[in-house]
Amino acid sequence: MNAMKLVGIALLVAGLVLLFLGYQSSQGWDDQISEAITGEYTDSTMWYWIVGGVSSVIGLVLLTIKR
Amino acid sequence: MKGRYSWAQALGWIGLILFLALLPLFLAGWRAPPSRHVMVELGASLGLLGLGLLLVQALTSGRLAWVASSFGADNLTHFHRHLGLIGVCLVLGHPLVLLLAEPAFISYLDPRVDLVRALALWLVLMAIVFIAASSLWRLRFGLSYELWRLLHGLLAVVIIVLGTGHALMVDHYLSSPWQKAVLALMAAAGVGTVAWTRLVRPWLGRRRPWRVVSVSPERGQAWTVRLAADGHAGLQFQPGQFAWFSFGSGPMTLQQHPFSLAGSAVDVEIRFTASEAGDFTSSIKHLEPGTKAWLEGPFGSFVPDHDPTTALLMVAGGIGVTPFVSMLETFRDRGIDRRVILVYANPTLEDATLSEALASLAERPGTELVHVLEDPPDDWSGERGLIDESLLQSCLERLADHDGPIQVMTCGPEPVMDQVESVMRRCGIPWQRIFSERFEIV
Repeated sequence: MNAMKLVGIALLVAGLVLLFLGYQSSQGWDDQISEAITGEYTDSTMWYWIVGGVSSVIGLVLLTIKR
Repeated sequence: MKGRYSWAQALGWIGLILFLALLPLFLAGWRAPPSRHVMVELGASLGLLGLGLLLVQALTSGRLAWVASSFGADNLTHFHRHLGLIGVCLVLGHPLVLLLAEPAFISYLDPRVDLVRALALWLVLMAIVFIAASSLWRLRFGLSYELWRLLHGLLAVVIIVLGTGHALMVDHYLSSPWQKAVLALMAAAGVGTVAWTRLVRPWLGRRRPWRVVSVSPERGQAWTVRLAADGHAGLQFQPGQFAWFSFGSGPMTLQQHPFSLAGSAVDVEIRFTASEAGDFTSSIKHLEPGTKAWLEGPFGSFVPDHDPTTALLMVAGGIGVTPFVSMLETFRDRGIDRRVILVYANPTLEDATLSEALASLAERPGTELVHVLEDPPDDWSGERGLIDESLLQSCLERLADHDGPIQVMTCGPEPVMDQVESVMRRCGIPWQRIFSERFEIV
């Protein structure tokens, strides 16, 4: 397994962890209030999802592409 | 053959690119909230303008043939590079100016305030520095072209997504849903374009495989690879264009290499000729007949004027002769007689790749082949030394007898192309009739 695949796995795992943390954060009372008032989750939750999503997609690309 | 840049198209694209680059700034200026300190407003504007410039970079990468055909793939790639550097400077100026104006903005980068936001913003700043530095000094960093290209695409996505996320979540200028929707749509289009050129299009290309028919040696430590379409109609191209080639089990690979299509545009088979210059080109000789190959293309606007009355002065150095061989073979196969002078520079005659094929093509009426040898044999009666101003002027004088306009095309080492361009400008050839093919971008 080359270094790129290892980085891919690391990014995918980190991305999935961040997405899970984003989900947990979205269930918190501050997010529920924010969502009820503004229709949006808090910035922290959004960042978890954005960074988690980007990291997961990049991890998947690195695992898919051949050298 | 179509061969001119379309000015209307090019101006249209420039207008669209400018509009899109300025769009985040326009959006922010629409019913903007009360203005703050001038430095804060300046800092915010730098960020929005930089984001706009970086978002349109997806359109100017040179991999979208419908954009590149208006400018020439090499011109567009140079434009991409310069526009990108301006965008990087603007984005880096954004936090600097804001922090100078209002030190409290450091909270955005402070992980104790918001860990994920701070990490994301540090990540985007580092990605921007790395994408610029690796593009300017790839070889100094020892990055292979393939790894650089992969990182460039991935970091572009990181910058687009995190940069847009930051602009949307700051929520100062872009607070209404429609403003957010327009910016998010623009970012999605940018990411979509990167995904299309890097993932979807190569993946779709798996339905159009090619097979290596033969690999044959040429003069000048070069190899000609012939390829046949495997179960599809093949490739329609104009002589002078190039394609990206990859070899192996599938098209989803980082090992993709650009080569000029060297054969006639009329042939069902296609071929390219490459000299041994790097790891991949040195391994071409080991390609076995039957090996699967994949193509993306054709790209490029390095094509001769379609008007047969236009005389062509072609100036090639070394392996840069391949697009001209394609042009001359296509003229021959289509029965087109044109006034052509091909000046072909090499160290010795043994280095002159495809010289036998060129000798036969030069027998056609109106076609003249001028070899220029740096180190010729003693009995050589042709041109000696390097391509110089007097040689190019004498070629122009010979072409001046011809009734139509003159198009100058040059492909080869950078110094040769620079020399040809400057001499032609001094000789009064309009710049839009001087075509150069420059592959070495990073």
